Amino acid sequence: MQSVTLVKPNQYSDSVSLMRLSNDVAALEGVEDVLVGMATDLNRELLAGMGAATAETDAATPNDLLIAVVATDKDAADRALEAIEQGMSKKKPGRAEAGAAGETVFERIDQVAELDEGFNMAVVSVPGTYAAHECQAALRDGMHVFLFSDNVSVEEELNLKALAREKGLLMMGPDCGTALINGIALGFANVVRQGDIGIAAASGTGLQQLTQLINAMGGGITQAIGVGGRDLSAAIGGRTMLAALEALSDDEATRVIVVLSKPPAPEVASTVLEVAKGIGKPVVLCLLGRELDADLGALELAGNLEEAAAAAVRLSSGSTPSLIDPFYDESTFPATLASLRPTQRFVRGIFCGGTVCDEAMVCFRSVGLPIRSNIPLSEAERLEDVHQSVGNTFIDMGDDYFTRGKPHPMIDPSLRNRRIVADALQSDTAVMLVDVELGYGSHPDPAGVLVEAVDEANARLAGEGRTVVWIASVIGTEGDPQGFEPQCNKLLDAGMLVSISNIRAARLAARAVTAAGAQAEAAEGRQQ
Amino acid sequence: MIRELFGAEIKAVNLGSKDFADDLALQGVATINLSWKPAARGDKQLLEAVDALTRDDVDAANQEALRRINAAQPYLIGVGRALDTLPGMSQDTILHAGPPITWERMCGPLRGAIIGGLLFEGRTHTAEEAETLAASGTIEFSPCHEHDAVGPMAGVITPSMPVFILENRNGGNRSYATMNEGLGKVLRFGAYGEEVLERLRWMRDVLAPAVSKALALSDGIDLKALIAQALHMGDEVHNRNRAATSLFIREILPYLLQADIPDAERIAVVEFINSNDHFFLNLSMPCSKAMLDVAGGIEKSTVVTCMCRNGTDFGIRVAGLGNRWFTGPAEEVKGLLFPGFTDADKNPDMGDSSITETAGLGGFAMAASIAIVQFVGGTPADAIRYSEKMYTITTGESQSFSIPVLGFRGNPTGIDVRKVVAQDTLPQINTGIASREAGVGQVGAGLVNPPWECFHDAMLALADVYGNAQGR
Repeated sequence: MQSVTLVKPNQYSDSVSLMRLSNDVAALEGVEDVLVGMATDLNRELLAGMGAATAETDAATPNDLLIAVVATDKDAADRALEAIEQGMSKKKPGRAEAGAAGETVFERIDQVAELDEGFNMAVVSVPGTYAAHECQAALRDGMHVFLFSDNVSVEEELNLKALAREKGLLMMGPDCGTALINGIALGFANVVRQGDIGIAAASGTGLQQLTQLINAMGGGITQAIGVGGRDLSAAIGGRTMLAALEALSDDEATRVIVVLSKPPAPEVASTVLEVAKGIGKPVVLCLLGRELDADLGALELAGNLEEAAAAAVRLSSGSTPSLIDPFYDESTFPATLASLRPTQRFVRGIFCGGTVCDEAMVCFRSVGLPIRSNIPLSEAERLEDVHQSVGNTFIDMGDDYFTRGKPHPMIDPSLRNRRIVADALQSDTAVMLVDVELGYGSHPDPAGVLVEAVDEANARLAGEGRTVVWIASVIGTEGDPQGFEPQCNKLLDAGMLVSISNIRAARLAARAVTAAGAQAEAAEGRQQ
Repeated sequence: MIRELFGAEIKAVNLGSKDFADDLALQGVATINLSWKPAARGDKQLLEAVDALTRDDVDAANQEALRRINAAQPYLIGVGRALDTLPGMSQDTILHAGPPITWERMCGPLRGAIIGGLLFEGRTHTAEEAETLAASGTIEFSPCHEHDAVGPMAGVITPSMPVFILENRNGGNRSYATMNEGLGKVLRFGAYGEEVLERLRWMRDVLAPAVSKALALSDGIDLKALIAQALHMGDEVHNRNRAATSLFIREILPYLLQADIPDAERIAVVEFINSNDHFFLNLSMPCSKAMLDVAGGIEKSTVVTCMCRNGTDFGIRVAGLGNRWFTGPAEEVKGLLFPGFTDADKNPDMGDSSITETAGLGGFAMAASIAIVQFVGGTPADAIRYSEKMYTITTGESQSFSIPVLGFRGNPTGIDVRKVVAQDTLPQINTGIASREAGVGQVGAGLVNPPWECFHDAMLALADVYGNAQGR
């Protein structure tokens, strides 16, 4: 075994590219473990876990780069170091825009502001500890902010949102995954038609699904504003949500408004409700997992994303839309179901997106099926060991626990492949339910990566003479850079059922589980 | 208004994951991807301090500091005896460069200069006796800066030394400095031999009265105007004072000729000034001091009012924190050594002369003094780069001094502690290097920065005092 640890002082790189590089190098032959990352507390902890910490790494600062390789022999370690060196030299800062003025390297937001060339949007995905400082600079320089980073304190978030209000600027985030501003995708977003529906959402994948379904129903979007995962908490009080609603309410191009959120704090929900009721435009409210017994006035309440999309498009067009779900085909479903063994009774939902995971759980709960999760709707439903699925299990692989020191599974979906294979092979698994996100921000070939796991699991299941039902919900549109049809075809070719509606996929899974249960009971009955 | 964003062209600056920038560019959005690294060296506490003071009222306080610095009009108005002239001076006081320091912690050249000072004052007859006296506690050591004065290198001022008197005619404050002895074996590098003492006596008995008489005939000499010209003649008035010294001679000579001075002395005085390219350093320093002192005490201001070193510690003061010192270890100067010397001969950074940088001169004005790079090392491009970088840590620009090669842009002025720590860009100082042996003299010249600690500690103290103030 050969272990090498290096510290490169004052050589900063962004964490996503370093995590990706670590992953790539870890896949090389003879390489046991790799860490390429800035010397943050977390990375030093991970380094200690690898047994690669040194006095030098203990003294390193977050601006110093750590490189650690554990390999079977010296040759493998050298190859790994060389690959890291090559990967590091690839990137070059500067203007990403084609044909723009050459050599200038910008290090700070104020340098860009000083150009006075109308730069009006800061897209921030630096480590959360440093994010507030950068956002403050952007807001003070008159820029709107899309803040992808999480790990920003409540106090910092409040300060930023107060500053944004004072400056009349939009502060999207922290923990904001998705926005479409003037049709431009910020973060993780799909390419959808322009139209007259404006959205304010405290949910990333939820917003993606909503815009995609509106698109599939023939509607279009003016603005889709992400407010950040914590905006509707009691502490933040929905500050960005309220600012976004005010702006959408004043926007002439927006004729219908949708408010989307994971369960908000009750007092914030009622504030948002009151404000929404006062808007002189039709408003659709979709608060996943929250029952409202308040007076809704003229507001429309939607129980899931598909209902929300349908209501918005109906209010926009004046007629009830139908969902075009081009690859949805149940024809093989009954036969697959019939081939399940009596032991196969449960669903295993392995998700990249938190909100679509939530929505699937709400669906199961509504039909009375018990569920467990690492992001439970209620504490009683918490999974004891997040690595071990029990009964109907829904795992959000994008949860902090799984993304410590690793990229989000939407960026690198291979991170959930091992779990998918393991869960598919469990003797009590009847249905595998997964999501696939296309669009800007996501992996260039998420279906291709997923299918690797599906094929491997299917081959091993075939060896045991059995099968499972594979269901995929695909969030994607014709305009997405990955190519919608080729991606769906990869899933179909692997034998998966494909829907562009997450709730439809979840309902199908619930039907499968119910049917599998009934089949098993019938079989038991025969035995007795 | 947020609504104004709707329909406007989006132009983005991206920091963090480059993927987001690539995706924006793919959508045809004009995007600048920053070459980003954590601000304030990734020190969260420091970053929070910076953020707490990133406010309009602090900006306004700094603008007031800049306004006062720009409005100052220091004139050389006379020469006096330290004991009679400097505030807080006593027969037992010896002033030194840099922040406060005890005899025990003083470096070799500073000790040498104090020995020389005690011999010059006639307090003892031998160096050994002087050391004993210095260590006895009888002598009060105090920073020049705490007596409105500055001194190059060791910066030693004893009670009977003559000092230049400067007055800010737009504010009334005064500043003081000794007269420059020239190069070689001199007190400021810690030499205390008979030739050094002899020169000091001549300066006290001949040079000072002559200059004093000449100045008495003048209406004072406008030092800011003189420095402005010198900057356009290739000086940065810290390590290069050749033009400024020449200009000073032009100013003072008519009065020296008119004054009632014996001819032999007049000739000796003119030869002495004319033979010392650095004569003006002891005027550019108090001029800087007089300009900056008017910013001292402005509430909430994060502008640095002095940077100085005593050969052991580096110290700074900040406008909003009055007379508090923030210190760290004086660093090694990197540069060119005179033939025959090695790195082992170098004393750590020393002297009050970095007051010039604090005022936007010296290292901040290197682009005005391209020739200086032959002395301190580097290339002409470096000189321009150093000056350009200093604009990123300063509050604004000088209205009096300008740099021709930068399009006559005003010198970078008013070092902002917030910017220094947030950007991790330390002020650039160019300076002489003293031998660590007392009395050897200058062994080279080069470039140095203040230690990070000074600015780190000052930033935290500023946030401690002003961090909870109301209003952004």
